[in-house]
Amino acid sequence: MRKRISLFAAIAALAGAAFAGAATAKRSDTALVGAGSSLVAPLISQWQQDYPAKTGVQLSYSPIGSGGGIAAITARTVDFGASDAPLTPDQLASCKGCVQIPWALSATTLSYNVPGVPNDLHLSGPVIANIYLGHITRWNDPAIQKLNPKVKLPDLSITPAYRSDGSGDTYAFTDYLSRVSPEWKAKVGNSTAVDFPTGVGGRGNAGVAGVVSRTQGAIGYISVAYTLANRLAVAAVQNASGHFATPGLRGIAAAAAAFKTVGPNNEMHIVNPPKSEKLAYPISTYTYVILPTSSPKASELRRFVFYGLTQGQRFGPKLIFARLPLPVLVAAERTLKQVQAT
Amino acid sequence: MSRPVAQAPPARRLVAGGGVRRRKIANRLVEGSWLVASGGAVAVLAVVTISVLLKGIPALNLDLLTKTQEVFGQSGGGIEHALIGTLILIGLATTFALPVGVLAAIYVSELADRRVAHAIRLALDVLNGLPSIVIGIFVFTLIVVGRGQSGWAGAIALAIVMLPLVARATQEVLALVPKQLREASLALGVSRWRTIVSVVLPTTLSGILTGTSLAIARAAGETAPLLFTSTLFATQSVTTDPGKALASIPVVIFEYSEAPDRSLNDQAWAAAFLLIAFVLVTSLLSRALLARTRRRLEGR
Repeated sequence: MRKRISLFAAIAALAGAAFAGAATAKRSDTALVGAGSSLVAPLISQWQQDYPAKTGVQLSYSPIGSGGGIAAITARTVDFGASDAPLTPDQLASCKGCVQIPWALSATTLSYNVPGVPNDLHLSGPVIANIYLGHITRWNDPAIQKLNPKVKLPDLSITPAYRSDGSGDTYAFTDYLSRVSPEWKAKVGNSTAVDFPTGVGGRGNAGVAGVVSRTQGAIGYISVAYTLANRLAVAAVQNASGHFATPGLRGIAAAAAAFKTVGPNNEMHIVNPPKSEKLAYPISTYTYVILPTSSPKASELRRFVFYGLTQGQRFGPKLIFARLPLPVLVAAERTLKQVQAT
Repeated sequence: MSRPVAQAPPARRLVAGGGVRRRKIANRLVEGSWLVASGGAVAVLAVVTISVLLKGIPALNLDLLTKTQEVFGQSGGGIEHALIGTLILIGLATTFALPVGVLAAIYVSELADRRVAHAIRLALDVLNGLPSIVIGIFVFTLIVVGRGQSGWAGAIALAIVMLPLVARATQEVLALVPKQLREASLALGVSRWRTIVSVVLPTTLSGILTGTSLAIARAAGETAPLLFTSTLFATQSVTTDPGKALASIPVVIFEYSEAPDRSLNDQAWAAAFLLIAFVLVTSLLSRALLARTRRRLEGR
């Protein structure tokens, strides 16, 4: 009898303790949790191996897309958010005291899966816009053939792939299309999530890379690290000077070099750079970390972001992240000082 | 009168009139369509199970169970973090749901008056039908906002999913206990709560276990609540601290199945196979246990 009572008492105590533990559960102090952009995820994946070894602080990151990252840091369900798209004034207001700091520099490629067509297919901004608007529907369309006189294009229908989640790559891509195609700007616009007139959706860069690699005739806008990792063919996009630029380190660095001043609130648009930079890849983008100005983990966050801006950058070149230009680095570190303990 | 009363009717063959053939065909058609429908249902189960078996078993290897996810860009790795995460989440969820479910079922079956019992039973049925994503949002708003995801939040969400199943199974087994048992115990002067605890409950233990294993099988496959409360992408180490977000098998299946890397797709199939195997084993186990309980109670 006593055994039964003590058994029930034990179960009740365990359940009670568990509830109490849940109610007062706080995140452990030796871990930083982040969420957001899948563009920067490959770089953070490298940091996840290196940073804990140096400092003992674990990093946990969910690549749910820039839109998700902004939402997560606004709700303070994570310690830091990551987004390729700069915060809009509305988002800045609802985030209640957040700063954005550019911590990496990469590009969004146009990747395609067309049998018989090699790497470096020449595409121009208006052609890409027309593909995504649904005006160009087959690979052997004269507009594409004109840019590629030497390539035999098959009579295959084009399946444009886009991001179905709120995405910084979508932001950079639609930013670029809005500048090179007035029809795109009027009909679709520029945002992390737009109403694509045609095409197939994929979740995250990994999802779109999956759609492109599995669908013949597909084309999608994917961060360059994912394109490389999945060995997809990449298009060379015509920039303002007429040159067909490839999304390599040189092209990205050239695009960033065309913009020497850092915008207010660190917001920078480096798509469609002016023709002064001949090698610039026109769909390059900075990616930001979004931090609350007052946080209980302020010193941990400052140390982590400082690591990302300095030592962490050395993992970048292999994953096609170009080095941050000096003015941007200076602005980033100045903004970082605003993150203080609660 | 000595004539026999019953006389054989005049010799005339009994022939059914009016379109027998047509009726026979109609009969066969309709019965055939019932057969096809039930065959369709079984076929769906067969297709799902066989495709998971065919795609999942070749992907099973030791790496799967002992390694965690590889760094971005490299193939291979395993789902060890998800296996351990699911075990921890289910373990915690069971410790939350089991006592509450059993005690609630005892109250409804033994102690409550008719209207209260009816209301509680209704509430449990509604809870059972609640979409799991709604439960996920509820726990997210209550616990995760402001604090972050954690294994505790995930376990609580799963416990809410498990609760009605445990409670209903316990109720059903309690109803099977013969009244004479309770009456005999009360007649001997044992107080009501002691009757329930020492006399009624022990006979129903395997039934409670049945309900619990069914609830565990259901909770193991729930994805929606965990998406809000405990997801861990891209981890190279195994997390066992429930204060942090834990990986879990359904979320890993969700994440890997859309990945462009084929080795991750294979791992998703293998994880799906493990999940189905787990559900199958627990279902069979619970059926065997339930049969045993029924035999014991009816044999008394």
